[in-house]
Amino acid sequence: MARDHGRFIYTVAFRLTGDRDDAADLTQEVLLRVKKGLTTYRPVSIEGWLSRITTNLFLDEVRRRRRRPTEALPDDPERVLPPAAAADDVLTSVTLGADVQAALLALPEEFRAAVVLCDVAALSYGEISDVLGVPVGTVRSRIHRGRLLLRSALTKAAS
Amino acid sequence: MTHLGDVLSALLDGELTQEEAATATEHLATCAECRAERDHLAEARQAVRDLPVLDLPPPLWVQLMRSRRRAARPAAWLGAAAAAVALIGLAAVPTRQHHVTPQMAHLVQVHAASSGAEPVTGMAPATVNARFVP
Repeated sequence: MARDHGRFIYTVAFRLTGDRDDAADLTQEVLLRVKKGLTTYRPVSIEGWLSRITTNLFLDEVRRRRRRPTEALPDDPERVLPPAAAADDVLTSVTLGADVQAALLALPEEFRAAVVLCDVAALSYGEISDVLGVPVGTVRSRIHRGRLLLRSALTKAAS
Repeated sequence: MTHLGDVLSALLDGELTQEEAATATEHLATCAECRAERDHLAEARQAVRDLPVLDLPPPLWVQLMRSRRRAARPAAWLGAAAAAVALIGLAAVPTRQHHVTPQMAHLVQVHAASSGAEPVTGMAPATVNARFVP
């Protein structure tokens, strides 16, 4: 594993979860699975492979939490709309694109995953279809609707 | 008139055939509504693409190093690429750090757990330590 691959996994994980601890846990789990699978895997696209593991673990966790509603969901309003940042955090928030991240978190998970795989992981529609196990037409529709919702959320946040 | 809908996203992403792209472009020339939607989509697309790549939190970085050392021989090209990228990564001075300075004690603990009796300096190159100095 190269350091760039580690950063790739953590970035995708953070964009999906919007939380540093959740992203770190997710990344750790992906690294463990990668380590186990490294001997037999013959990658066509390593980013596609890493994205598949990361995204599927994320969606599995979302489904698990949905079955146990006492736990906070990733799209819990308090996490979508974080409390006002302390002065020291402002620069960090700006650097991290906090408004865009909040808009991503407001998307339904299936749309968020499609948008993140396309615009963060830079996968093709064909690769995303493979990762999510849905037809390319569905990928196209989710990316499209996700972007429209995202744009609407960003516009509201700016006004 | 039928509007382009999700064809617009596919057009922005270069996911249409030449013929489909030509038809869509032709429609755009005559449809202000679709042009406006395309612009909105392009804004959202660019906003996400502009988000920065994030650096690994230090404990995960340690774990990554561990998995690199212990992974049982990946495909040859992957090993060579990993080594090359890691060398470049270690030599580079980080330009952006988003996270707080890690607790050295924690790093030592993580490393000790991963490497038994091997001393810290046996694994961590000097440039790595330098990054973590408070």
